[in-house]
Amino acid sequence: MAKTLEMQFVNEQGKTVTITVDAPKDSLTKDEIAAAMDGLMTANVFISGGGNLTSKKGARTVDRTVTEMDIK
Amino acid sequence: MAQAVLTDRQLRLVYDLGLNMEGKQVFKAKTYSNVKPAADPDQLMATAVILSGLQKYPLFAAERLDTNEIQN
Repeated sequence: MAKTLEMQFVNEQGKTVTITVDAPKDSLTKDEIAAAMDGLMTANVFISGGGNLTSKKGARTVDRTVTEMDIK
Repeated sequence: MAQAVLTDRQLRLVYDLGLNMEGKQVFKAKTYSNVKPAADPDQLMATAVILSGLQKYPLFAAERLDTNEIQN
C-alpha cells in the first residue's frame, strides 16, 4: 500500500497548489503538518503558475492499493 | 561571447531506503518542480529539511537541478 501526504496551499490567484510527500510518517499529527506547511511558506522556495503560495488550504493522505488480477 | 541563462530550477530529494533483500543499497528520489530561480541554498536546505521531516526514510542528499540555456 502506497501512502502519500498531500499538502494543499492557495496561491495569489486563489487556486489550489498541492505539494506531495511520499511515504509520510504514520505518527504525523495535524499540528506537525500545519507547522511544516507554515515552514514551507516561510522558506519561500516554491512558486506556482498563479504566483506565490499565500495560505494553507488543507492536507490529506491518500492510500493507493494495487491488486493484481490473474486474467487469462 | 556565449552566455548561460538559468531557465528552470528544481529541488531533488534523495531518500535512503536501506538495503534490499540482495543486500544492495536502495535510494528513492523525489523531484519538486516550481522552485523559484531566486531561491538560495539556505532556503532550499530549509525546504529539504521540512519535507524530509514528514517522511519515513532518512534524507540521503538534497540536490538542486538547474537548467541553463546557452545563448549568444
